[in-house]
Amino acid sequence: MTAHAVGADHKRVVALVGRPNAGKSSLYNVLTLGDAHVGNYPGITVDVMEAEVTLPSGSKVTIADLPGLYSLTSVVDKDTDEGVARKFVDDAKKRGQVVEIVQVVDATQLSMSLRMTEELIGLGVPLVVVITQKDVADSHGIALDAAALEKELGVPVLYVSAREARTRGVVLEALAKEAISPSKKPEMAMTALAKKVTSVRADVRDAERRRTWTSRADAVLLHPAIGPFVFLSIMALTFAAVFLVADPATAAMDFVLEKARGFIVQHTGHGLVASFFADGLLGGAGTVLAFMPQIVILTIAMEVLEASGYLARGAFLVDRLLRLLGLSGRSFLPLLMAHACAVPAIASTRVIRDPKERLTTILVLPLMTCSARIPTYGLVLAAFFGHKSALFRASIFVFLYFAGVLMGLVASLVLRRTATRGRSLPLVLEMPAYRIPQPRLVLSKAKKAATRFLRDVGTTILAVSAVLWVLLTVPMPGGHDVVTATPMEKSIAAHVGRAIEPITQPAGFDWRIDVGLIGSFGAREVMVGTMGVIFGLEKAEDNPGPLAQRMRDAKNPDGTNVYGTRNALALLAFFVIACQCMSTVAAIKRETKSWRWPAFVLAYTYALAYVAAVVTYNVAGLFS
Amino acid sequence: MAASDQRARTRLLADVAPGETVRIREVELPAETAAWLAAVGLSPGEDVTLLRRAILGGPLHLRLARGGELAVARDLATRITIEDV
Repeated sequence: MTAHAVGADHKRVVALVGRPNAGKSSLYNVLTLGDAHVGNYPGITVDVMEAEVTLPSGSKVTIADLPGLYSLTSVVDKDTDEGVARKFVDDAKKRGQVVEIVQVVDATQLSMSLRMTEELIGLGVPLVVVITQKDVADSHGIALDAAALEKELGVPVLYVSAREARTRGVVLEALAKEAISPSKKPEMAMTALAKKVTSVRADVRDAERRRTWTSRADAVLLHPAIGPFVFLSIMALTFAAVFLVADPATAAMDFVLEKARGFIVQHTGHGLVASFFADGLLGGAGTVLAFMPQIVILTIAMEVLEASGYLARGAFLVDRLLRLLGLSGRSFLPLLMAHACAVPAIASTRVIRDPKERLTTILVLPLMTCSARIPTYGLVLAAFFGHKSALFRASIFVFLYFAGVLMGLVASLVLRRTATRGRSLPLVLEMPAYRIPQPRLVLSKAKKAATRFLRDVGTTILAVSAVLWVLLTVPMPGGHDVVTATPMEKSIAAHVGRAIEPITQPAGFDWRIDVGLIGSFGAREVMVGTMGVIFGLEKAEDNPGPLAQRMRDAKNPDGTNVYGTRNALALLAFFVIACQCMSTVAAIKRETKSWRWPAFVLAYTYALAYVAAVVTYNVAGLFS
Repeated sequence: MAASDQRARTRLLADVAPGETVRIREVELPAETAAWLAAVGLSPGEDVTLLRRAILGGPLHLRLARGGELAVARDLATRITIEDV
């Protein structure tokens, strides 16, 4: 192993485990002072956050935040959160590390959590139980006797509030002491023990009030008629925020890039090297940066929805609907977000707990009509149908929009019966009490999402941009082109385009469209600009009129038109389905941690897109 | 005969009315799934109250007597038999 996981360098690993919503993230943030990076653990498909912390004793430990789970022994599937946590603990032991477990317990759900405590004691690993949400329990009038609990369990028990600063010192102090492996099983039954150490003050009105508050909110938010309405409104708001932020962000990025490009050209001239930096790398960097605001906004929205407890309610409301597609309520948010952009939507599939369902959602997200498709459709329609009526173009546009959704639904149904068949976990959603999200925690998640995107997705986008630049700009080695040929006509892409023309002919694509498709492999919006360059036009994407004219005038050697309505329709059919977006591919690679699934998405969308184009071309041919 | 007789009297969690509190009797699922559900809090002997059902045969919203609330899919609720408290 060349790249060492941080965890592997230290002998002691402290793993935080707890039920979902137990307050693990808050405690992790307090202990690590917000420091976190994704651990490098081969074979683990869910991110495990970790940070190095110095204990009061001076020794260093790695603190790892495992996903929320219910059990370390009842593992249904290795890809579930339980499976990931189990593998993490087993692997660390295999590496010869000392694994200590800190069980994070929600003070208001002690009885439930003690079940896991019993299980952890049975595992025989050193254990510290940290009961959090003391502030909430206090306000509920619940008092816990931590000392009595510690005596019965035989392991250290701390009772803290993660929102207090001194909590860090208390927990680290406990970790600095020699780790205690539980020696024997507790004698008392856990339910009885929970009862014994919990006392509820007589004036429990506050607790009742809080519970009633959640109940009251649920009566409205889960109401059969009002609930869905509120849910759709909140989703629409989130969607609008992501969508609206994309436009100005991209415009601002374009402006900066144009300036930078001008600077490079001014100082290094128009040579190949300058073009590589100005068009290849800078263009790629622009793509990466343009995604950042969307990623940040969507992460904030998701974290707020999740932390407030509302996301589970939304999933509850729409679950039945998505079940028809073989998905569940948790897939709704990612599917909706994909209509803004597939890249943040793919990251947002983390809210789906079932691994197979999560994978299905990731695989169909690229089919949704994302915001980048809209200007592309507009340009292709303007270029090919500029002479037709506005109503004609509008109706094709609307059809294309819904064709994407329809394809996604069909793909999901098919995948759930084939490649991602089955469900590893029955649907169980925690319905936590409503809480106010902690802004610091939300912002730190957003920051992490942004840096992760830059590092993992950004590098892939840059690499693909560089490769595409070479294909479209560098002349084909050993190519015998006529002297008058434009640089684009001499390019490797042009030679490839001519070579695959016989294959794409049944779809009505000639070599020029093939080159456009190669150019738009990285990002579909590049299509029109590339076609413009082929036809000897600058900036066709800003003004597609002249390109439309030249394409209509293009003649075959026998005098017939090269492009007709059926060619254009076939091309649009191709655009609806093909995953022409390296950012999406890179994001899928990032989330599935393998090249297998991005390759699968490319293969299935391109194959399907080709078939759809051939069918469209031939069916349209029958009518012309 | 006895089994079918018992079966006829067995109620399912899916058939409980909102507001009703019942005790889980058996979880008729593969052992490892049942063990996971037990860890979640749905094991024989636990008392649960049905708060509401989602529309169109959607999930069931439950409150566990031991604390916490869960939503479970309807098809899962048809695999859980219950008895009166």
